[in-house]
Amino acid sequence: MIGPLTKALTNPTLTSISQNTNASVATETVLKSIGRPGFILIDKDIDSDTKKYAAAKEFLYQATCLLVYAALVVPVFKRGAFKLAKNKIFKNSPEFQKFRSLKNYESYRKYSAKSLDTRKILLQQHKLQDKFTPEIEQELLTAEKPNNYDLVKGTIELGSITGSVLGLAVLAPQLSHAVIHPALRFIGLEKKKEHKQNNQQKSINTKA
Amino acid sequence: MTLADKLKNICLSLGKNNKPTYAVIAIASVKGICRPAFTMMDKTEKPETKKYTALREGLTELIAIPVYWASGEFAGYFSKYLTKGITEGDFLPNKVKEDIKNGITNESIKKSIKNAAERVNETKLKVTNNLRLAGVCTAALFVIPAVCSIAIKPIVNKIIKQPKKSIKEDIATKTKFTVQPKIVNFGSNIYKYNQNRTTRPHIGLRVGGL
Repeated sequence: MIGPLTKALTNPTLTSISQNTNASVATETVLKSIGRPGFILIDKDIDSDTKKYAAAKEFLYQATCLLVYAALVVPVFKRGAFKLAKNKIFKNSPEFQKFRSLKNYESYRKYSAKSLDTRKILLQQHKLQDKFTPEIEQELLTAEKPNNYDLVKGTIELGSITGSVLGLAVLAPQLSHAVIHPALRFIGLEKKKEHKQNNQQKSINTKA
Repeated sequence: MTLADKLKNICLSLGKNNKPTYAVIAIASVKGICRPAFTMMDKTEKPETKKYTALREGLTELIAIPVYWASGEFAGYFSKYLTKGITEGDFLPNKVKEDIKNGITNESIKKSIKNAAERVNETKLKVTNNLRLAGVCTAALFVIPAVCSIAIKPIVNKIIKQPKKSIKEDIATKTKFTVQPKIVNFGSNIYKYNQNRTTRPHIGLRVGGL
């Protein structure tokens, strides 16, 4: 017997998030952008100005990470990994030749997650016969449980992980360095250098 | 085994089961090296500030790696309790269930039972992975920031010891003064005695009057 909690935990949306590197990393970054500044703000050992400064800095860093992630990983690394595998690394693999593009594979995954009856109706309604290769179309229309194509999925996930690492660990710190200080000055949490030197008596602890 | 074979094995394993902890641990590991390195390369900051910030960033990621792993595994551990009640019967069509009750066994029923067994395993894996994701999210939202805010400051203070101020320096900063002669308005009386005419500091031992 499947209980309500187990039913909630097997929810298809949650499953697709947990199996998708992009979705899970984006969720984690959003939570970090809430959690880290939140914990800085409730710290009683730091003075109010320093807390505000450190929290804003951390929030801006995580926001930059999210932007870099959205702009870089999906268009560059996911598509790039698929193309590289299809045309170079696994060019002899029949699995890759069944899909024209990354979008084509993602569309297949979306339909294959549904039940056979729903799939049949949807494929006829949306007139997707031309979208998929005849082999894939046949699989979607007849197979109770269509193939996952683990190699294709794994290649895309590996591309996403590589992109996430490069985007979040290498590019985001560089970009955030250029963005954060002007943004903090714009908000009014950081004073211009000349002005700061004159007012050294009440300065914010930028180490926090 | 060639490099392409190794890559294929990695891709197949990721395709079959992509644990949510893989990506976050990979990111934290590289971040733990790159972020402090970039901070140390910054030429606009003071060396002391750079050292402090780099150490803080490095320690944050160093804490994050085991916490992500432990949170994911800990949350996934509860999967076996939540999926204890799931049986093949949950995935069998009613007609097949009736046939089994009536003692009918044929190829179609065997196939249905096999499919149901596969779906039980899939469901268990789904629950485990979704719990792992929940664990990772909890770590990102609460556990890591909490551990960092408790542990980082004492560790950083132990590693980077604050230089003790010497007594001489302390006195010098306390007795810092600027010499500004007071301008007193005497009004019309030019013989009035100006007690504030000195330009000497008003501190310490004075010899000879004022």
